[in-house]
Amino acid sequence: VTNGDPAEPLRENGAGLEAVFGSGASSFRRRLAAGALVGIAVLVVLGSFLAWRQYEDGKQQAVREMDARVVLAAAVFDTYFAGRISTLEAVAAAPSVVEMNTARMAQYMKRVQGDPKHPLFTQGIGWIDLSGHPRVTDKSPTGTTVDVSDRLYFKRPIETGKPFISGGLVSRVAKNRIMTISVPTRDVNGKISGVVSGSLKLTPAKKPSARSIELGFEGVSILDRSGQQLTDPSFSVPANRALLPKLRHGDGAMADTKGLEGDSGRVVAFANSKLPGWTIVLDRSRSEVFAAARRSFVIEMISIIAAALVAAGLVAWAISRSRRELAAERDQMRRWDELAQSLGEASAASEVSAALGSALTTAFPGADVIVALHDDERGGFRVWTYGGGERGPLDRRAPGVTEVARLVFSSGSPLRLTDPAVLESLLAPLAGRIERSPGELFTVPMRSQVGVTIGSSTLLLPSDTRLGGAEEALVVAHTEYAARALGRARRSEREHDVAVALQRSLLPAALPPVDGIEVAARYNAGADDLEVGGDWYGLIRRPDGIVHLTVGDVAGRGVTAAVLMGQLRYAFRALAYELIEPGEIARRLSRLVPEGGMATATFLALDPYTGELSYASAGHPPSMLLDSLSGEVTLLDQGAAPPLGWTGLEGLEEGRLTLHSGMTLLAYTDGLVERRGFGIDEGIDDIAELLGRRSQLGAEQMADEILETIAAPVSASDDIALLIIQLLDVPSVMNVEVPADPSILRSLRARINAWLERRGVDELKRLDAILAVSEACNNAIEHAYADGDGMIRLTIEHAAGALRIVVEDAGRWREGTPDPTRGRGLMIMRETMDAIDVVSSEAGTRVELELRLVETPAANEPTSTTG
Amino acid sequence: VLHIDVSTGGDGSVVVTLSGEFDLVSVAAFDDALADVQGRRPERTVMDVSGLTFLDSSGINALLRATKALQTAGGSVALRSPSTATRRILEIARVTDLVAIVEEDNPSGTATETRPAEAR
Repeated sequence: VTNGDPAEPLRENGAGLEAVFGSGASSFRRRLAAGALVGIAVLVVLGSFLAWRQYEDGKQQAVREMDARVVLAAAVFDTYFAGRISTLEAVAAAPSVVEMNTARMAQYMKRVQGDPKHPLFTQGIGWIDLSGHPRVTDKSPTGTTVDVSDRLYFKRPIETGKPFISGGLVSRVAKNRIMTISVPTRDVNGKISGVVSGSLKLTPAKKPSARSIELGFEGVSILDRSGQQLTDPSFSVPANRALLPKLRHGDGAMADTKGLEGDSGRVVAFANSKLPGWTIVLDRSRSEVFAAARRSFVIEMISIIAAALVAAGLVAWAISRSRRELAAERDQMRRWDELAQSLGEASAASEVSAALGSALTTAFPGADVIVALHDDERGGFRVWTYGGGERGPLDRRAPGVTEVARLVFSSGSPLRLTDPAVLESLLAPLAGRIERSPGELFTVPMRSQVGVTIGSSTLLLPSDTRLGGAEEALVVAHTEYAARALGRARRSEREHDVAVALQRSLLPAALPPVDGIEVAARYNAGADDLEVGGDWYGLIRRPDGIVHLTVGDVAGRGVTAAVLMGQLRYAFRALAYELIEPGEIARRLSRLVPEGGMATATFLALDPYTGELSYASAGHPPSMLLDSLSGEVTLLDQGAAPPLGWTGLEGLEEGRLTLHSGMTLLAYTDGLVERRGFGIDEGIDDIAELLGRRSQLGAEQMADEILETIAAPVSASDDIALLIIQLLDVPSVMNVEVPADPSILRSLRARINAWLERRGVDELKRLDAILAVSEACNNAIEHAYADGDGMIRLTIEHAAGALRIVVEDAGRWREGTPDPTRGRGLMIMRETMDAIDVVSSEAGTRVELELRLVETPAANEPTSTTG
Repeated sequence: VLHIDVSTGGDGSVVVTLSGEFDLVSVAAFDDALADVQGRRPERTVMDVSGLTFLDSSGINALLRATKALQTAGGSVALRSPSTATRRILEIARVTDLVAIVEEDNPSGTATETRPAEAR
């Protein structure tokens, strides 16, 4: 029996919401990610553009700087050579030179040169006469024999009367690479007398000097007027001669061009120094010149990319965090869903408590959870404990637990305790069971819809844990949810109580006593929290003395099962009076089971006088027959058919056997033999073994014994109904009422015969008694009830060595019928019986017969009939 | 339940073999069977009652009714081989005065002819 599942639609709904919410969030997340990446890309492009612009500016700056360096260098050279010219002009104006006194001139020149290790003119100073021969040098007063008349530094000052600076030369004697500065000399009359020249050795530096590096001149090239590279040891002319004319004209700088040696990708800065007529050139590779700019560009680009990566990382982190939060939220929703479902399914307070406990334990692992609920019926509280981490839940009966659960009852609003001192004193009774200093105690009242506090849920958190605001809200919400479910569960419990009461009312309060048998019946309701089952038992003693017994079990639980059980039981009562055969009762009952319903049942018909038993089982576990003499147990497994409510009962044939005194029948429902982890056969074996062991017990004691030793340890979760019938001594009185119908006479005779045989009456007396009863019944049927149905009551008492037989009917003699007392039947009765008395009245006819079984000396005179 | 078997004997007589319980409920069946026998107007009818396990006054009455009818039609009737119990009942009911009782090995019978007037 199902009573609907309210949690089902809720769950579907929840799943749907989650799906909708989930997909919306993920598309939002995708849009956010895309937007962030586009933004980062735009920033990177913009930043790169700016960096590139800066790079370009930096390159121009570097070019301008080279230009400035070269101009500066040119100015330095001009200044330098102006100074040297001035020095030489001073020498030319010296009196010894004017007077052409060679001896003094030589001394003077030596003085001008200064420190011989570091002379002013490194190649020397000399005076050359008009013939072109050096007459005096700083090293020799007599000069040299070298003819330098072809040198420009000699010819040009003579021709122009102006100073001259040569290009690169190779000295004729020492073959040094030199340059020479010369000024004309004049005699006392002002006529040009010769030339004073000072020469400088050109020694290319092996490496740039610190000063040149400081001034940015390293690697400078100096070209003289003829294009020779003075900075080159071989005075070579640059390979890229095409460049020379450009260099000659003014100052400037050319970027990304061919250099002096024809290499491309160069930056060439140049300036002309007028005095020496030199061109100062800085020829550097682009990479070298733009290194700084490029470096800063690279650094900027690295910074931009790093910033972009950081930004992208932040976005990714934010998204993954939001995804985690979403997942946590979904997790939370799922738990809510689970809580809602288990609360929806809860039909008892204990199930509500279990659902809440499970939800809180999952949400706060390691915490102790105490749920307390007001017990409506018994007063006080029912307390459950959950969680407790690895240690396991607290003992719910431990001292202090209930006190903790009650904390919040008076306040009516959530209570949060974190002060260690307060907690310690409060939880003192629990010392040793929980850790010494819990982190927090949070307790929430559970209130009914009308605001009455009906319970509480309490969280005891581990020492390193505190609840956040959201978590407290969660506990409160869970508890409120459980409170609502509790209302439903209470209603469901009331339904349970109604069903139990209904079932109890449907079961017979007491079984009618039956001669010759002792009967015991038990009904054991299943566990408290389960719904009531549909087990039943019943016993009917028919007027004809046949006893119908049944034990059955309606499939399903609750009120529906109890109602069907009631229907079947009442139908059984009605059918039992109508039918003798148990198989026919099963067939007729089966038709009463409504569509979708099902029940199993066993039906037994026992004649306590004859000991004859017939039985049928509709899908029910087999009844057991115990022979107390041998202790042997037989399973009554014939007459089996499908359960009631199924088809296939038509071909049912009853099992039949004859019982004798001392035998015991046990019929039961499957709750007795079904237990977890074991098959039904093991259960049956256990019961059979118990019956055999305790075969001497009476029916009532045996019923108690079975329930105590078998049912109790199983903690019977299912209902149990059982019926025990013990056959006592053969009854001494047969008392039956049968319809006044000729067709029943045969079986009645057979029953009387079997009963008397069991009573030990010999065959001849049995025949006489049966004949007499038959005659009395014939009379009743033929005369009293000739025009309709009626009942015949028969009583046979076997006592004191005699059979006393009374046959009564409630019919009236028909007018005009012959006097029965004169008939052959009466004759037979008179002849076979020791005494006969027939009394007819308005109420009916009563025939009393007596048959002595032991011969007595007294004469047996038939009595006369009274009318 | 009464079993009724009608056959023809070696001497041309009709043999009605009755077995089982002859009580009130069997009367109708017996009457039907004997109506057929009467239709044949047999000279001699033997009712073999050896197989009867029960006989009461309703059976006896039916037997006597049939006997009377057959005798009225000119035939003779005998009851053959009753068991001890049956013979006792027949004696108690004084049937032996009305109908000849014969044994199996003496089919001709020794009993006197019944007097129709006394059959009820």
